[in-house]
Amino acid sequence: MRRRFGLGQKGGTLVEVVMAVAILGVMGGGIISSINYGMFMMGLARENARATQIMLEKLETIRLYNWSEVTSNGFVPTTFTDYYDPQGASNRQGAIYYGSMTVSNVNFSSTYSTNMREFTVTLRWTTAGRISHNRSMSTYVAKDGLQNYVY
Amino acid sequence: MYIKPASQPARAWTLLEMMLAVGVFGISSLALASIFLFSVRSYAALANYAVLDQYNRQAMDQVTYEIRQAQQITGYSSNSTSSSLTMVNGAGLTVSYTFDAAHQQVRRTASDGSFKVLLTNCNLLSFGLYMRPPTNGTFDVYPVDMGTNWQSTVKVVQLTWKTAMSICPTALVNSEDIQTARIVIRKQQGS
Repeated sequence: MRRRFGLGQKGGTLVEVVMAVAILGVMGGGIISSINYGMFMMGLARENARATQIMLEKLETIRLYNWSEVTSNGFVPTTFTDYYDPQGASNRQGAIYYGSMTVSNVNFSSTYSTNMREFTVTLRWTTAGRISHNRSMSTYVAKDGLQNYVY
Repeated sequence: MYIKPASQPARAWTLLEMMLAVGVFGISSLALASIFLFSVRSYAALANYAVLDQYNRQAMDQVTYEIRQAQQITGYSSNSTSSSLTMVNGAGLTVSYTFDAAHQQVRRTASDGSFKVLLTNCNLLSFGLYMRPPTNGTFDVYPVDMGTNWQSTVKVVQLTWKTAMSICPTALVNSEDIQTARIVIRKQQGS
């Protein structure tokens, strides 16, 4: 029987050390990339929330138009641009939202359908310079609807 | 049977081995520490974003609902340290929304004695008051002329605020939330 004492154990070889460092590196990289992905998703959720605000603002303005303005060609602008942070400095305003507004006849037929219009606001923006998004929101306007009630 | 004597001295590390071990340990520790710090900062920022978003949405819902139903805007002031908007709400109460820049708060006070801090960590709030007629070819409306009886001409309220949080009082701001809204007062004039 041979017994060994003290520090006589064999150390790690270079290959073992390299493997261990590589595994640690992959684990660290995984942690960092998962956090980055979480931040990216949070940023995306915030941009989506901001997009909703911008679309609501545009649709809110429609409540002020009377019927002749609704049906007048060109009174309602067809395109607009907005920013994630409109109060920010010129180069730090975040995502740029390119919007369009369309006014169309309603897609159903009835006796009053000629007295209605459908407004659709669409927003397009890019996250991190590579992922494009599109969102839209629609509402109806009636000739004898809210705009006659609102002073 | 052969037993290796315990008294036999084991070979010590050479200087080179020691330096290598310390170097590898140092680099690994630095890497681990930076990953740990990055994780802590990121999770704190994510938590701050979630908190800001929650309070901002609640505040926005409350303000939007109340302005939309308001009978009339009755007061308005704005300067670098504070701004306020006063209205008679749908229930007939006089309600004020006040921004206090020193305390970074937005507060709601009502004539029934109720008081609520609507927002904290708020570093910007601006109100814009506009009249009814929309402009041709833009989404703009005309600003209220703050002359005599301006209150009766307010039809649209545009508001913007920013809230921000840091992971600790001395750190740079790392979470910021921006809210904007354009609210058309629905109430018919005189009713």
